[in-house]
Amino acid sequence: MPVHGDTKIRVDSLAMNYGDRPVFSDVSFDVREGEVVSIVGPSGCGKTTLLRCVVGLARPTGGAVEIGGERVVDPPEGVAMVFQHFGLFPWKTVAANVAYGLTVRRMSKRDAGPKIAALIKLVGLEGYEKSYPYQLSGGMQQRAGLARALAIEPSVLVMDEPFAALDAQTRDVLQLELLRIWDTRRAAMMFVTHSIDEAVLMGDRIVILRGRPSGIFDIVDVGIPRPRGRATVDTERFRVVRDYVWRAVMQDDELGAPERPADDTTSVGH
Amino acid sequence: MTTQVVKKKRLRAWSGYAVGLLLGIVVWQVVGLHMSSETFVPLTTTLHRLGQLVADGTLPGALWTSFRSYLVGMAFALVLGAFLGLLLARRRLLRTAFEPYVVALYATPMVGVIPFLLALLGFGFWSKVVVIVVFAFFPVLLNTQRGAQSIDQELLDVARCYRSGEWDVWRHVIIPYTLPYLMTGVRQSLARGLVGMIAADYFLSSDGLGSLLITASERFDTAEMLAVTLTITVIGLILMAIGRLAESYFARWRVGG
Amino acid sequence: MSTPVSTEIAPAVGPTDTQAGQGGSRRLLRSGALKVGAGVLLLLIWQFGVRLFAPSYIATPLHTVQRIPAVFADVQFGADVQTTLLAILEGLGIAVVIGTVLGLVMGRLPDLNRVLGMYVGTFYAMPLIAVVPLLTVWFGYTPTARLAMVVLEAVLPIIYNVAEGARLVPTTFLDVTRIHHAPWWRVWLGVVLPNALPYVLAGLDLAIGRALIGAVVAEFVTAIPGLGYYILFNVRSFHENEAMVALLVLVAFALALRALINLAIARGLRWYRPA
Repeated sequence: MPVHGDTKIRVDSLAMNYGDRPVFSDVSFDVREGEVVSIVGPSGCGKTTLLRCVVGLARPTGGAVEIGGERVVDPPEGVAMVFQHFGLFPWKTVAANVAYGLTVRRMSKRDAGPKIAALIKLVGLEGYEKSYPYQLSGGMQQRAGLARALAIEPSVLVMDEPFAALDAQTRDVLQLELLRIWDTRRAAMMFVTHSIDEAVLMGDRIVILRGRPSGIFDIVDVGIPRPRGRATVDTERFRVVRDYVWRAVMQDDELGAPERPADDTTSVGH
Repeated sequence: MTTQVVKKKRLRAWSGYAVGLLLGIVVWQVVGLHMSSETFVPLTTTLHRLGQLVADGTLPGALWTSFRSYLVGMAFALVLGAFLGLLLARRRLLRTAFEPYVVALYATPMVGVIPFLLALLGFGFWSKVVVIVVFAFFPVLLNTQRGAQSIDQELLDVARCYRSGEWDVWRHVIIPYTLPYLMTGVRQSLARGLVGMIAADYFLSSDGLGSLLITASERFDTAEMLAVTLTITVIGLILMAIGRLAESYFARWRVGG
Repeated sequence: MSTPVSTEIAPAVGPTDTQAGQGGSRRLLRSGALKVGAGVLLLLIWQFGVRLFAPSYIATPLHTVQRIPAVFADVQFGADVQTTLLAILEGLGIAVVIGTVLGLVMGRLPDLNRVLGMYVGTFYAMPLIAVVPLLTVWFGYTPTARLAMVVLEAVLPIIYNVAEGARLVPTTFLDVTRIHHAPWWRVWLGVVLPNALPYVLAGLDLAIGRALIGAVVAEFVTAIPGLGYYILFNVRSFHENEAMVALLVLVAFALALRALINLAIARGLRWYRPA
């Protein structure tokens, strides 16, 4: 019984070349409403390029992407992105940065004010509204980046290795924060990462890329119920899925085909 | 990237430059034809006049006069600047004492100093040389100093470890390390020296390139002015190219150029 | 790369706070004394060198200082200071506007950059003061010629730096504007321009020195009233000390302007962290 809604993002036979050299080819998968799909693969497999094609920041060489039934050519409405290097405008305050999407959409300061305040509180940056990015740590900047993405109430949220530029402890904290925040507003989310642990922790399903050129090796059901938390990484299911994905990504086939975890059809939401 | 894509990019780049060059030529020609000959002359007229000036010896003569002092001045500037730069870098006492004055002098518009030099030294070859030295000497000093100052102590320790004498340290460590910085300074001072040369010509000479320009302006002889300016521009471009080449040659071993 | 920590004061094993403090301030005093000493030495060389070897009308530090009150009281001097400094400021202002616009456009449009860039580079490589006689033909021996020279000198480093800054807008910023569908003017005014601001100021810093040279050479050649002509006139009439005062005012002006720019950078651009 699928707990997630209709297909929000449909990726169909997507292919991308860099000059003559194919980066990835024949990538097809979908992301349903209220679902998180993690995309993981070795370095250089084109995960970020794939993501940019999905949101319309790059044009694929072949195939197509549909979001909400509409073909993606340029970034569509209702899609928000969180960047690896935060992408905050250094000359704007935290509040101004968070409000950027609303400012561009011509929302009045009066209307935007309470929304921004609520979001800043949500991501835990209360008190830093008037600070500038250079005054914040990497983790705090990324919280602001997340708040900016959420400000436009997106139906699709896309994350490009959002925690890769942070130290390990900050990363751990923010992963849990993101889980908590996402639970309150379940946009369809694509989460690109090179950390397998992170992919399993975050995702409902995992798209495993590998090969040269990259293609989808497998799409795995994570099958761990939400809400997830620190304890999740100690569960048996987590370990099984993680091991499988790890061996798949590392192409560790010498011990025979990795044993694929059963699709957990009993996955329950709430 | 494919050769295909690379070829296309290169073609686009080169056609950009070609268009730029063509545009300049066309604009020069067209504007010149539509203006009175006192204001602007077409490229063809300019080139024709250039030929005349070369043929009758005016231009070669002026070039020789100006560049005689330029070359001598640059030589002095280089030697003096490099020497003092190294001195200030290796002797902290001198550096602490004199650095603020070096910086202040660097900030002084040396053009303002020319009348004083004229009064002191009069007309002639050596006063022009002094002007050029004064213009060109600072970038060499500052860059050499910066280079010699930034030598990693480790490198010097290695040299000392192998029982190198003072001369060896200079020859094998300090000078090779500082050379790229010196070249950067040379490049900058080639440009400043040119400015000094023209400025000196305006005041201290009656037959240099700058004086040609002045006398031509008094006659409203725009063709001659443009021809001489064109010559000076080409020389400037050549000198800059040489400077950049020297700089990159000596910086070969540097990480990140 | 390891930089060995070199200390002139004793390392922190044992000494009390006051001792370490004294060490620091003692060092400052010593360096200050050195600087003053060196300055005095230079002034002495100047003073006695001139007195002993040069004609009496050559400027000396003593006489220069003596003439300061007279020079400052001179109405002509005051007017000349004003003319030249205002001309330089005006020229810099014009150059900033033109230079920023051109630089932004050239930075973001690589085709335009290739077409125009070669001319910017050419003018950069030549001694621009060679153009002064030409300017006198076009504008006569007037303040306009001086202004034109200042603008020409100042605009080049600004174009150069701004183009670099505009070219180097981090892709992430542009991604953000595209995701949020920012209209083109928001991208230019809200992202490209602020991103280029540090570069504008860097170009302006370079432009100040060049502007000064342009103004002074223009005044020398055109003989229009101004600080440059004041210097020339007074040297020629054997009033070198007065001329030296004027030169010092010029230098002070240049240093003040650059200090102002650095202040603007420190205050206004606190958010700037080079990528």
